[in-house]
Amino acid sequence: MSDSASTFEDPTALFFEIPALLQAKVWQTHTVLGDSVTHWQAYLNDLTLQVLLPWVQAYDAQAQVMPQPLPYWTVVTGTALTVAGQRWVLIPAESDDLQVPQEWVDIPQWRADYYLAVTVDLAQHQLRVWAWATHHQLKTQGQYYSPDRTYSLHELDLVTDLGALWAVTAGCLTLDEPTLAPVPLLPVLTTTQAHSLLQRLAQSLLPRLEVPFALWGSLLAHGGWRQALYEGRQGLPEQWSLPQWLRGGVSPLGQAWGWLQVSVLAESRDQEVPKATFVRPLQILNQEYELRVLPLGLGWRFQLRPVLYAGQIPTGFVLSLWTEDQQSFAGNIAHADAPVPVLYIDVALEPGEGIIWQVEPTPAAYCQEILRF
Amino acid sequence: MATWTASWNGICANSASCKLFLVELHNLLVILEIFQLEEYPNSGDKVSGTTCAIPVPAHPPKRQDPTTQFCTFLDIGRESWAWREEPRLRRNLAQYLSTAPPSLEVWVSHWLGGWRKDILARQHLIAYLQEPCYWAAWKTEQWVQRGAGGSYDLAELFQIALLKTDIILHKYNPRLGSNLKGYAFQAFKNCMRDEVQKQTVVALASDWSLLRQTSRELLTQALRHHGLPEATIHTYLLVWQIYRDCYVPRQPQRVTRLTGPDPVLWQTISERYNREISPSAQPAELSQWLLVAAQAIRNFRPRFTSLDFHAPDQESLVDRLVAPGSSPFEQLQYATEQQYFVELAQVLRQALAQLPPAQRELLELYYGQGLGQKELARLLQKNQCTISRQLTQCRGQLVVALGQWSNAALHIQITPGVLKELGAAVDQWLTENYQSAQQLQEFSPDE
Repeated sequence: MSDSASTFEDPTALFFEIPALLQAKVWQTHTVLGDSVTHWQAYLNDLTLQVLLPWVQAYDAQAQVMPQPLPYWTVVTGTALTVAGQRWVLIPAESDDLQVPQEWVDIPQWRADYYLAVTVDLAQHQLRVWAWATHHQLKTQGQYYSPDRTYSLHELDLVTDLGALWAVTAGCLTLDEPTLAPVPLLPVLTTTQAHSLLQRLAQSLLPRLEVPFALWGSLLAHGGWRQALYEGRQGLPEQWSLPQWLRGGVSPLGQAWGWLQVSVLAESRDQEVPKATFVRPLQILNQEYELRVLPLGLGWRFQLRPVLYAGQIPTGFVLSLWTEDQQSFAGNIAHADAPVPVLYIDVALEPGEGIIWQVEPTPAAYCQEILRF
Repeated sequence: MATWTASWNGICANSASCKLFLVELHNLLVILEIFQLEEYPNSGDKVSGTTCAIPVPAHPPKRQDPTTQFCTFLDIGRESWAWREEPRLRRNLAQYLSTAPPSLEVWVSHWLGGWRKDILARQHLIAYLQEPCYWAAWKTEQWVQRGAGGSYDLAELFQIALLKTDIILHKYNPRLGSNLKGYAFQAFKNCMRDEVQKQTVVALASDWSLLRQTSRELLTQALRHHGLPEATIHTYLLVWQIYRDCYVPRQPQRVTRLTGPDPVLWQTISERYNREISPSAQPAELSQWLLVAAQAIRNFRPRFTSLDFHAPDQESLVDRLVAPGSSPFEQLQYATEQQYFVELAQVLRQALAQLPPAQRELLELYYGQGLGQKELARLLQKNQCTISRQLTQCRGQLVVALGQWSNAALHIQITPGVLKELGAAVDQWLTENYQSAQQLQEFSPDE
């Protein structure tokens, strides 16, 4: 009849065990991340996600984690998920505190409908989801603590009842108040600004507190720069240079994101026989497509095509290219006005110039990436 | 009672019925024991100021007189107890007793409507909740002695729980107000268990680990309790925040035995600190401050003192206390509330009846038998994660039912704040619905 000290009695909270094996494995996964703060941050974020993912998937089997989490895990606490069409952010902490990093609140694309407070008790191998709040609540009732750039809610305003969260997410109760509050847009950084920030933040212990939030937020919101920040802080060599890929094959990170180099035979009927073609499989509306990038005599060609032989790209699909700082340029968009076998754009590029590709409808697990030429 | 009996039959049909019967029997015995003890022969000494040096297990006698219930506080010493009267409350109440005194429920309902702004109303309610707080402390002490860890004694537990009265009153929905005492008893017990568990963590962790595992809210309270001025607290919180951001465990197995930053990291911490605030401070000073903070956390045992009665920001809001029940409108309002409660209970009873038998059984075991989640897991041979998920979902379904009804019948907009209330209402109702008749009686005034 003796309860252990670790018994959580609260019926309103959710309790999970952290399997020792999982704990060890997640720790091991991230040991490659240089400094201890980065390692710890990634560990806590990843462990929380691994423990909670089965529970989240019970809500929605198709739940998606915000793609490429490692770059943001290493600098911010929290993991974003899309669950049944809504966005959740898991905020792990080692104490019973819900301090939501400003990034999750004030970066417009990062805002979430629900923020979940998760206490990770590593000593007892336990994890507890004990409260939640909406973005609207954080913005309208929350206190902002500037030294740490976090939002928090008073104990009396937090909803410490996961049954109520169930009611509005899995149950059929709808909130009569918006979950999201408006936030101002962040400034658009120029490529020069971004590169100088990336250089400055590469060595910083806590990059998120190093520069004014607007600059930091804009940098982080950009998938390609977020990745560059991560690579710079890890001291990795250039990963996204296609000329380099031509010489030495696709880089390890390029491969991890799905890029492959394929045989050129398929292209041999073209007038110009390319030296190599880089292919990235894409899943769009549950159909298989691929993005191909191939060198031409004076430039590069980006192609979107179905994987299926004689397949068609449906009307309405759009392939577009953007400069590194997300500006358009002449001829950067190819639109499928009728079903077509392939969409393509040819571009001439300066050495070292970065290009972001984009496809509409958005492919599964899409994250902006900067390819360099 | 019908629901209770139905659930009971359901359980007996179940494979776990034997064990359950024993648990139930045990609970009944505990309840009976409380009862007998409560009728301890000392009940004549109930009035203010009498200190009775009596050996454990003596319990303070129940306050019989309704007015005493609103004006006296339990003072628990190591081996004694006393009901102490707050003269201000007595005077306050006396003014209105000359007019026809309304029933106890009406007084409670009246004060629940205004306690946030009315300091005297709040105090009357705190006085009113002394018994459930005492019994919750007594139960928790038993639980601690069964091996839950921690070193709290009954008096400390009682003090800690009383501090949570505001949160309990905030959560309690007076419109459902059939039994504030029963609800408070459960809530006090949860607060105390929570506190005991926190204290166990405190005892096991090194100073540096403790600092990482403390919330900002708790640290702030501990530093205040330590007697530091607000400006110093602000400074300490900043150092602590930087410390917590920069210093992380290097081995996940050693989270409770951290030994503190090395000189290089101290340099980094001090640079960050000096960038934020002046005058600047050396690493040695910062380290010293954090150790003081850790000590403050260890020493921090919340105590309910008369200081809490006179929160300065509330003092200015004191209005002349208006006697309840004097206006016909208030009587009408009370009647409407009672009607609301009847309807709400009906909605919840229907929703409960629609839950699958396994889920109803779970609720019965949790709320009715008072089993912990771990005990439930053992009894039902499931893991605790599953139990907690199922409990959440059961409660979620009741929240949905209550929410839909509130929205359709009462045109209440569903907001996070309302959801919080609905969740609390569901808890309150479940607690009352499943509480055995004896327990309910324990906190009800004898009339």
